[in-house]
Amino acid sequence: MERMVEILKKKFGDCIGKSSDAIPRQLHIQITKDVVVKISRFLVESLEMRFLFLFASDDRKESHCFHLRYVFSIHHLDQFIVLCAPVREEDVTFPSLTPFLPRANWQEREVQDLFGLVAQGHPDPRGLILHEDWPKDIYPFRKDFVQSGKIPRQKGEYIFEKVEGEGVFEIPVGPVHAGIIEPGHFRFSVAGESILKLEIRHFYTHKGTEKLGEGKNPNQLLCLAERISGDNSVSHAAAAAQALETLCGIQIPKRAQCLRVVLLELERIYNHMADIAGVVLDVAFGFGSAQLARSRERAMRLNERLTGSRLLRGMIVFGGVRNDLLDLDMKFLISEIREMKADFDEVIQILWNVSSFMDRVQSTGMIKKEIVETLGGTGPVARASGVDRDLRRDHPYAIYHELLFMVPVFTEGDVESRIKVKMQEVYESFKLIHEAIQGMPEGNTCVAEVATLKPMRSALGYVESPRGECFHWIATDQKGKIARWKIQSPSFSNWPLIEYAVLENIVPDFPVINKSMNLSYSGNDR
Amino acid sequence: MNLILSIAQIVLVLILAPSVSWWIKKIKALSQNRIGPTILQVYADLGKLFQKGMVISDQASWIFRAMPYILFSSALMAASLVPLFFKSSLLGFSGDLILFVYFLALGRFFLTLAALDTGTTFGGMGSSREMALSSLAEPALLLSFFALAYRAGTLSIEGIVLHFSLEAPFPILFFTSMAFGSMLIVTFVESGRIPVDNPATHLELTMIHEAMILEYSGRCLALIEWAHQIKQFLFLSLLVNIFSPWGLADSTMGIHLLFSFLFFLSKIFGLAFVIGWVEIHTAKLRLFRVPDLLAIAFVFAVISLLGQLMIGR
Amino acid sequence: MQYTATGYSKPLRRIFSFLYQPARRVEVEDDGLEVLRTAKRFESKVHPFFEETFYKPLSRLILSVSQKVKAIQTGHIQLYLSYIFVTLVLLLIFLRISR
Repeated sequence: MERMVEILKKKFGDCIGKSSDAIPRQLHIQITKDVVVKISRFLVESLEMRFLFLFASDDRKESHCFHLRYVFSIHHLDQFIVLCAPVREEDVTFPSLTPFLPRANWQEREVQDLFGLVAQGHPDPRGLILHEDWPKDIYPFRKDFVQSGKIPRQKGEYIFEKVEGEGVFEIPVGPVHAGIIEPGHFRFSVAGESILKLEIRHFYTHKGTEKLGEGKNPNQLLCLAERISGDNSVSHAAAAAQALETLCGIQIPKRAQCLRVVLLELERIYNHMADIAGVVLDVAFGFGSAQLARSRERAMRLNERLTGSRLLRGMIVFGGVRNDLLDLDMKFLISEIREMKADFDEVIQILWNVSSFMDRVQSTGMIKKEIVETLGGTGPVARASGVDRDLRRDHPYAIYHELLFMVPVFTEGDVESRIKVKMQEVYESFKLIHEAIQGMPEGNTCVAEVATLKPMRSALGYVESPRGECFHWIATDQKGKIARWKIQSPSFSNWPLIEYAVLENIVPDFPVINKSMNLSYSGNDR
Repeated sequence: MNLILSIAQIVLVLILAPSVSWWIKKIKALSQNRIGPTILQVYADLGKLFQKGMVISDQASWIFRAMPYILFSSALMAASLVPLFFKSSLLGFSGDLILFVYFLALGRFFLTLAALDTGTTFGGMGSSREMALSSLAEPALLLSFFALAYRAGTLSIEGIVLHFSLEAPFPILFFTSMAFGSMLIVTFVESGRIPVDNPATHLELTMIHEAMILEYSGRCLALIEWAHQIKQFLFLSLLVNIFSPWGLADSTMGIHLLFSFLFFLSKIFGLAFVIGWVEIHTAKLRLFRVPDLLAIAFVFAVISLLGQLMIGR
Repeated sequence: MQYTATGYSKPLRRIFSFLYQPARRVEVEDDGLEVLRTAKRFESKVHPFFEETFYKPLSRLILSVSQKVKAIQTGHIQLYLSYIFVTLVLLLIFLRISR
């Protein structure tokens, strides 16, 4: 990786500052903010890296400036590069990456809303996280934001982009929906049944989780991480725990790593079963959805039997896993998985034979591969559109480097492909759990107590959750307390894709398309 | 005596209509490994709605307030033209075949208008889809009625039923069974069942019938639901009485009436079972495939009519 | 947000598209990345089938026929008097024949 720094220094001269590779596989490089776009262009186009996400942090107390960080990955080398650019308080502007990398669109707007930094050249001036009734110059993620009391509302207007034309009208759906799902607003422009344009607007459940984590101790942070998105509790907690463990340079015992893999795959199984059940329900095939819902309930009862929590909460702790799995539990797990697999097989065979169901899901909600790559989609949605990417294989964590599994990729990008990806992943998860249990060594499930976190360090933790890539970045301050926690959830990356998935489809197909992507509102809003 | 029995038929339509909905719900629940509701549940739901208060938008006009009554009374008037287990209906006369279709169309007209009344997009959506589908379903229904009327030589429903009940079973031939197929498809459309519309969905963007009544509550909603169930029951009664009318009572003797009533009930529930069966085994069709289904119904009706005209009875 | 007439009739236009031959035009945005552009303007037209095949020919026919028939309206009272005379003669002949 020193080669990398040399190449950059040769090309960009003084704009490149100190670099540090204290954390294995994560290279941090200081740069100046004016060359951000040029360096990103160089990294993405010439060195074929992938831009993951960007975020800001308020370090005015320690370094008298804000910091903007840009994270890139090189997947064939299993490396991450973090560029760090200081932004002084006197001049809070920074060049916008969005015209070059559209996936930075929402991320830069988030920085603008929460920190007050201004992205110059950003094509969309509207607020994202904070809605139009939030006062203009209060930035909640700055350290001097006073958290007590109510913020007074002010009048404002959010302008939706619409399609002009005679006979074109808008259909607003939400934020209050007819089922028990979370709030989110969808604004369709239609001229009858075909959708001309969709604009989404979320962040109704923005809770400021990242800021709540500041100053907490590790296990409290993991408790918060589990509540980012309820059905991805284990994934977010595991990513946060990995970030903390990497930050302190702790290696957790192998038994704990195997157990984490088992928990992550159990989560993937019940999530994917629920997703497929939801899609089947939305095309009104009651029989199929009832059977799949039954399988999912069985999986959740298995979770409860093994860990005491249907959502597998409370198991991931800083340094390992809280409880062990006894031999009895593991035998039960293996036999349950065998029966669940047979049951799942049977339902899937029935589904594929119902031609009215197949007709609904084929060629519905197609997302082209180039749109997924341009907007930075991840997870099963991306794999269904031909983007072959999986963190478990490309940047292995826990014991995934020792396990053998297949990553299903399809190319049509329609609802059927997404169901097929999830279905195959369920089968792979069954195999992975089996392998992890066979290869589980004896040993501790947790390292000994860690007093404080190392001060002035930062690290990245990452997990392939059922919805896609989940990144957590944690930085500590001089006293070893958590100073910044950045969460890049897979739903935040994927929500912009739905605006393109619905084009050329009719309005009644929207619920199926939305459910096939199954994005989390809470995971997006944090 | 005839009068009392005819009125009793209408009262029975009112009482029995919800039970057919219950039966179909029960069948679907059993197929999903669930127990399903008891028969009292459907009646309890209607009763609950009657007792609840109503919330009416102050932007709504008189159409919104009047529609449930118009819908319900048009359904009742259509019910008075259909014989159930006794050979004559309350208001039957020659030509009431056409009047039946137009009573239902009257109800549907006001339903679609009231859906547009509050100005929500969901109401407009449901109403536009309903109009498009019924513009295809009505001709198919009328043509199959004409085919049957041609065979029976009369334009009154009770006349047709009487004619078919006097014929031997097997000569009810190929052409009338085409009319049966056509009317069965129209029944699925009119009662809003899968594969056309899902009565149990919560997704407003996919609804056809439910979307039109989203704004209703309380007593009005109860009347609308009941009218819908009556319409479903009437279609099933027509199918059963025209295509398997044997056992219909033509005297007023108690034992004949009882036997005819029980036989009629079993035929209705048997046909409802078929509807439930189709609902279980198919997913909902994409919206623009439903016209294809209705085109099939139309073609069946045309074949039935033309076949009888050309080849004879 | 209220349903428009175009939207209301869309299902019918689509089902009977062989008759109406609807033509639609969607203008796409012209800035930003090519692959991410979405619709900006929409126009839809319906081919006036019944007008073209039924009403227009009918009105043309009536107009052309009436143009030709206009020839008998010359304005000379003598011609009109002779029309009346011819009609009376024809009537008398007709009555005679039909007896």
